[in-house]
Amino acid sequence: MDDGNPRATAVIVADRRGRAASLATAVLVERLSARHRVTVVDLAGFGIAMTGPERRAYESDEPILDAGVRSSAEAVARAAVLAFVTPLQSSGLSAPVKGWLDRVLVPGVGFEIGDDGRMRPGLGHVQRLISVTVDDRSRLRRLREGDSARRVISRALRLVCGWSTRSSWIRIGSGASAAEISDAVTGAARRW
Amino acid sequence: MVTVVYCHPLEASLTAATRDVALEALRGVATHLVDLSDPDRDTTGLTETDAAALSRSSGLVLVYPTWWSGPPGALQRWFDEVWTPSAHFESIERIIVCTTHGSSKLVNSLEGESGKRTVSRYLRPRCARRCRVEWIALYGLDRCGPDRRARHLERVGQRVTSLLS
Repeated sequence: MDDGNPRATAVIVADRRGRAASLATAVLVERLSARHRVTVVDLAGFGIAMTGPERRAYESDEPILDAGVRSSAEAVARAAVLAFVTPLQSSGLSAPVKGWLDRVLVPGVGFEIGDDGRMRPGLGHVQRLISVTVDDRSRLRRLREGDSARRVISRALRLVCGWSTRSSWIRIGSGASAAEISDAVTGAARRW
Repeated sequence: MVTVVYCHPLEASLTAATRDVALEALRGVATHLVDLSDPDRDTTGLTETDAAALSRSSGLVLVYPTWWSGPPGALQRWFDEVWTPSAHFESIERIIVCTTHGSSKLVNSLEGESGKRTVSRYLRPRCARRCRVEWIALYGLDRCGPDRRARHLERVGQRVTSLLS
């Protein structure tokens, strides 16, 4: 694989709290490694809140101040596949994944702000968005609660990717066996 | 009692000004302020304190910027820790959300307004049966002038004052 080829790179942003999320990350790494160079961003210890200096720098030419945030941003800049592993507890993404979006996908990475103040997509190179969620809620309850997490990835994030970017959403239960997790991820992997 | 939740890293922000307007409107009323602006905030014991305050509150005011279609990570963590699936705060009859969006209403509609859904479909059903949600949003913040910002603050003050009636 050529380092300069954006198709070669997949980034997995993983909130690995819990057995199912850890197993799902391992399966995802294995499946994606067949065709991509994989970078795993482990969110353990990643600050979920944008700091004051980061917010002040947000609209400057250098909006990234933190080394961990910078390494994530550099990986995303080469990514053809952007994957998330996230346990879902309340409505919305897990806080570490949401914090990662807030701090890493800043102007110049996730989008550009033009001179007219309008936002322009910055992730046109991302061809696949993959979300593996550890979610024990029933389908009815997810629908009733609005499925906000799915909207963030498959609508808000997809808006800053290309028109042809496809989004996959995989749900596994926290008590799923290793075989069930592998089957769920592998089944979806046929579409990637 | 009214619980006010504030989340923004900068004091020199419209969100901080919105918090101040809301607190001023609530002057004289018992208020519990949850300040999520400090990323290094030690949350030990605060979850229980916040839950106890919510269980005595008749109103909840959320003041935050909308980023990536939803609340910032720090507020999402607060939702996860305090608004657990089994938590109910049936004394809350009104929720007022004061938020800002960098992009337009159209773009936010395309994005799915997930933050709005979280409040109206996850938080509200855990409150009083007839709890009402009021969404006070300033869209297109990146391109709006001081007039619109001032009108936004004025509206926040009026609506938060209505909590007292």
